[in-house]
Order: sequence, then structure tokens, then C-alpha cells
Amino acid sequence: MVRAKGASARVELVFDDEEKAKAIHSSLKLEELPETARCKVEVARRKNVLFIEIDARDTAALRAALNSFLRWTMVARDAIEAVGK
Amino acid sequence: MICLGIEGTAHTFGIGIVDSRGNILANVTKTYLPKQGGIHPREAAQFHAANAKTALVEALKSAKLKARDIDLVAFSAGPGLGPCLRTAATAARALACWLDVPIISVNHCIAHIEIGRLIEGAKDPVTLYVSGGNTQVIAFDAGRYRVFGETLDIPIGNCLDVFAREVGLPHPGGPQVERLAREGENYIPLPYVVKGMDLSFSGLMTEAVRKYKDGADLRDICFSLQETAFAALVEVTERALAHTEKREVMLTGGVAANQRLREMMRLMAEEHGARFYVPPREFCQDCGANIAWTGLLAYTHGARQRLEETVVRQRWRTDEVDILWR
Repeated sequence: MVRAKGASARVELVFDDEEKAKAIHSSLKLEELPETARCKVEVARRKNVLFIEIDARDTAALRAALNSFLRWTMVARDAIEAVGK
Repeated sequence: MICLGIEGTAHTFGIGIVDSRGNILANVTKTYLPKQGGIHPREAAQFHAANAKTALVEALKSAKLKARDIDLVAFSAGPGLGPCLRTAATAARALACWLDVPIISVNHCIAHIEIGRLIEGAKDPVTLYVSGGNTQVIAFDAGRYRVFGETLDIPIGNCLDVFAREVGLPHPGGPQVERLAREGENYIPLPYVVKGMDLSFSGLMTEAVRKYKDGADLRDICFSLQETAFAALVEVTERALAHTEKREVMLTGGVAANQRLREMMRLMAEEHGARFYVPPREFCQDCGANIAWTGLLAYTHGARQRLEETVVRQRWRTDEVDILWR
């Protein structure tokens, strides 16, 4: 569990399409990290905006989680854009 | 029915598209090659993310299909490197949600066997699956693929790659070791470790490196390393074949490209009157077609998953999967 809130971040990602944001949110939701010793991550969505909230033990853990979740957001978005509708 | 499969367990990101008749409509792979050293999981995952879009576009173009033609998304849920698995899984889930089609998790090791059965026409083989991440002797029995023997430490592909790196050969080391082994003439005794039906390669690798540092000829060490490791692999496969009384042997995985291993396996199979199969290299290696075909088999035989059940499993064992299609 996170014992001290050493570093935290809240990222808001605005998508051009609510359906796209919904698909990406559903995909990322399963990667939400359980509350471990290093960090806790929550992914939420409101309409076409995706929110990623990270509470980490230190900046190294925060950076690792941020990199991972931004990478997954990117791959989810790219996969959707590659196939189109 | 048309299935799009995503492979992303280790260094390869692959997109395969297969129909329910077993036609492979597309099979695009992008492979991460480290500048130095072995595979760094985070860098491999970054490579997958950076190449996903291109691979998908190329695969759809190659298959001459549109998004609306895809009926099912399958992905490699394990075993593999965590960051890579999660990147492929995220792409798969996003696609399934976006296209509003079902999604199915596929065990990577089983996918290697199923694509081999499809392409080679093997019905019920004892399979030696050898790669950089896995070394298993597998055969089907009582509803599941059973592991009759496996490595207790490092996989054979990893053994060859690490040895190569330690003696200054570039990655991937397997082909380099094979090339030098052909020039070797003198067998240098190395640890031959078979424990019951399981294998061990870490001591063999360490001793081979030690021999090199002691000044032995690198070509002789490569020759001896291959002969020792492959003899152990063939021995365990042979015992599984005798025990199961099956009539077919299949060799697959990245190390199946090694001609000496093929030769030894072929000889063993012939001595037992068994047919010997090696799928084409494209399908021995990690690829999306393997995943797509296995996902399709599972789905068309009743397997169903909710999105919440598609969490990756880094240590997903071959023998944990119920095989509904056999």
C-alpha cells in the first residue's frame, strides 16, 4: 500500500470522439494497478475526456506508471485509428 | 468468421488475420532488435506501441479487408514479458470495444502447436517447443496439452543467446552459434542435465562460457554446446513419444530454425516410425496468425470471455488451458 504520498499526477486526455474515449477507457481500466507498495492508479472517463490519476511513493515510481499508462493510451488510440470504422 | 490476432509476448509484435477455414489472410510481424544486450522488456513494449498502427494497417491492406469484416479479436495473454503482454492486450481490448466484437485470450505456447497442426496437417503430435522464452515437450491428453518435460531454469534459446553475448557474438546468438558449430570438430565434454523428464541449461551455459575464457576454440565450444543441449532435448522428446505412443513429432519455436536440431529430431522420429513436422519459419516464430487461428478455434468451440476477464497472465502454463476443440 502507498504509505506516503510522495509524488502524484493527474492527466486529462481529450479525445475528438466520445466513442473512442470510451473504448480506450474500457481497455485501460483493466490495467489499473492495485494499491501496491509503489503506486496506485485510477482511470476514469467523462464524455470524451480520459482521466489518469497516479499516487506514487516517489518520482521514479510516478514516472514508470505515467510512461506505462501513456504508452497504453497511445497504443489503444493507434489501434482504433488504424482500423477506422 | 474472420479473426484478427495480436501477438506481443516478447520481442515480436504481430498482427494475423485468419478465417474459419484456416486461410491465413495476413501475417505481419515487427521485431524489436536491441542495439546491445538482450531484450529489455520496457523497450520492447515501447517498440510494440510504436509499431502497432503500422502493423494493423499493413495487415488489413494485405488481407484486403475493412474493420467491419473483423468478427473476433484474439490476443496473446501469456506467458511472456509483462510490459509487452499488457501493451498487446490494451490494443486488443481497445479494438474489440471499438469494433464491438468479442475478444478472446490465447495461450502463446498452444498457439504455436495449433498453427503447426493447421499448416503441416499434423493430427496429434508430440511437440518440442523451443524458443528464447520457452522450452517444453508437449502432448495432448485428456482435454489439455500436457507438459511432459520442460526446462527447470533458462530456455534453450536464452542459453544460446546469453552464451553468444558472453563470448562477444551479436544478438540473436542462436544463428551465430549454429554457424560456428558447423566449423567445430572436437567435442568438449559439457554438463548434460536431464532430471527425470525435465531439463536444465544454466550450468551448461556457464561451463561453455568458462571453457571459452580458458582458451578453448570457440567453434568447438559452439559445436559441443549444441550437441549437448540438443541431445538432451531429443532424449526427453523421445521418451515422451515412447510413453504416449503417438505417431507424430513436431518441432516449433524460434530455435526450430536450427538445422542441426532438425536433423537430430528427424532421425529420432524416423527411428520410431513417426512422422516429423516443422512448420515454415514464419510460423515457427512468434506471429499474429498463430494467435488468430487459436483464438478462432477456441471461440468457434464455445469459449467466451467478458472484457474484465482479459487480464494478462505472465506465467500462464500450457497445461492450464481446457482445449475445447479437440
